[in-house]
Amino acid sequence: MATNTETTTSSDSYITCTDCNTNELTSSTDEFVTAFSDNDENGEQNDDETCKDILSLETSNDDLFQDIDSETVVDEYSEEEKQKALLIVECLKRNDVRNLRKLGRTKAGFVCDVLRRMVWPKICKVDVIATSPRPDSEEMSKHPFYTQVVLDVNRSLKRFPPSIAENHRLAMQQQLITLIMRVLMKNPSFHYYQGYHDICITFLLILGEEAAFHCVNTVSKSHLSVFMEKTMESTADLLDIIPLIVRQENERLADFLEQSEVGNIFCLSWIITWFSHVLRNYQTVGRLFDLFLVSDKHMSLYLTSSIILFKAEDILKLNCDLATVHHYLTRTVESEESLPFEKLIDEAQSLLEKYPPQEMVEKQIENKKREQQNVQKFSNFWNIFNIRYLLRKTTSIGFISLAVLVVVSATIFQYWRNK
Amino acid sequence: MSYAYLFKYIIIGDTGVGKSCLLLQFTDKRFQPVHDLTIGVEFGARMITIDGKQIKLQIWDTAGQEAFRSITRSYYRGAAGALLVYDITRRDTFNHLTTWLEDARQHSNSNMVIMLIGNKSDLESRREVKKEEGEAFAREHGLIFMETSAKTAANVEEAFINTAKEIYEKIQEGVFDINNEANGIKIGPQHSPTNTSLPLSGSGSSQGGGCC
Repeated sequence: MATNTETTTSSDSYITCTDCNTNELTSSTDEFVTAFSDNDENGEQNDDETCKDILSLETSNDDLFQDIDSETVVDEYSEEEKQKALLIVECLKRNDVRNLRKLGRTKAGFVCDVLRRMVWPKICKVDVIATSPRPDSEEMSKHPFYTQVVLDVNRSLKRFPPSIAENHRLAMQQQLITLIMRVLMKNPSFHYYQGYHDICITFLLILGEEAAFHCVNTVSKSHLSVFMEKTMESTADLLDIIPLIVRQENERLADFLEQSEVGNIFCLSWIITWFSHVLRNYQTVGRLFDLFLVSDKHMSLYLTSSIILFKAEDILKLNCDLATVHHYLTRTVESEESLPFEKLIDEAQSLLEKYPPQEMVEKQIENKKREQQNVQKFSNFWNIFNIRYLLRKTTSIGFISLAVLVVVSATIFQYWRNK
Repeated sequence: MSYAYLFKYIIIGDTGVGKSCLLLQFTDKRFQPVHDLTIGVEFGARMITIDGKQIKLQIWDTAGQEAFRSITRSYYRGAAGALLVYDITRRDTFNHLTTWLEDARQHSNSNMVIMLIGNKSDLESRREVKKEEGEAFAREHGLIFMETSAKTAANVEEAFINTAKEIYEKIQEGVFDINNEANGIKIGPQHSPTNTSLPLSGSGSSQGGGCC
């Protein structure tokens, strides 16, 4: 797939592209919507049939998506999802981003990749017409993160659907490198982190390189910037919010986790890759991206909390040690079967309403400050046994008293002379 | 399966040097040519025998990218052994050893046994770091040294087991306080039959399902 793939279909209405250029994407949206409204107005097709068409795009129109999910057939979508697809198309027609955002939060998100391809750029307020020139390969290869990006992309086979032909995948990996480098070069303050490429792959698979670039660029600024700092220290602070949320809901569980010393590192990859590094099911990843795109940037922390809370009973049965709990939690998400994501998403949203991110962030900062003060107090206490510290202290005390003495003497002398 | 001791290890070193592959070769006896990268920490476990005693190795594999260092550091503290890995085909990974070593020494307990590993010894034609250089570095810093290949499994068993032997010797000499779990050593639960951990899948060696 080195070149743009453009596949016209029997209905000739839709252009699907794995490497859409901007015009193609725009026309794709327009024609999709036009086709829909034509059918609607003429009454030639009832809603169900139209929906069927919409949903069948995934299998009939698009090489890539056939590759990605050859199992997908129209019948796999429930009535509810088909109805939702219609609502999404309605919003697209009206350019109603506000309601689109709401639909991203409710069951099934944006339903399928064909719709995601049109909705995500709208959510990201991306002007896909404004193309930006690709940096040339020489310029890219000089970038300090280039070697790392190439190494990581070459190791990212797991994320590409196995049904993709090798040459197709290789071309996509090349596009992925370009996509990441373009965002990094456009935003010199951003540091590449391992896992960022997982997020980029998802956008690339669904949107194609050009639209993916614009969306990833926006999302990096709005949602991922904290992960793109030089170190992960701020990210570690953010992760500390998770046990705070868990404690609000289930104190016993929070105590257990604290006692096990499991910390937060087990969910680091969930948070910084929006779960895309660990989930095997491509459809679930898409669904979660729908949620994260339309939600507060802290939503992944709340979803993580809802997963932990959902598994409370099982966790409390474990041996209370780091390895056991770490192992259980990482495997739970990797195997995924036991997680009812729609329910967990609802739960995460209500947690976010109950415990607003800003409050949690403040609480975390407060806790950290208190901990640091305690550490400081503790070390101050032990310092009385530290000769070097005492010498330093007494020296400074000596210096201060000497200075005070000089000032006082000078004042008295001045007073005496004036007299 | 009961054990006499549990030793905690960490594997550290630059990204892409083969840390996860070494672990996979040791725990599962297999090699994955394209291994996905590690974000945060992952771990594996395997039982070995030293001096007729069952010893469980619990090995924490850390992310190599520098950005993660502030997060993975907290795992150094509770480790009895560390495998510090570089890639013999990438000079820069050897050059960074000093930083890794300083970091490890600063954040771990002072008795931690460190094994220096030059990995990918099967790629002789692409070698950038001579074996003698690795040996010299190890000598200078008081480390054990070995070249390994996670691909061919050469020296992989030895690397993990020799580290364990060194720790075991230190226990015998009384250097390690085995009652303090912060040293990365735990006495086995054989005397406490109520402790029913997660079931071990397979026998002897296991990763994933076996765990902890």
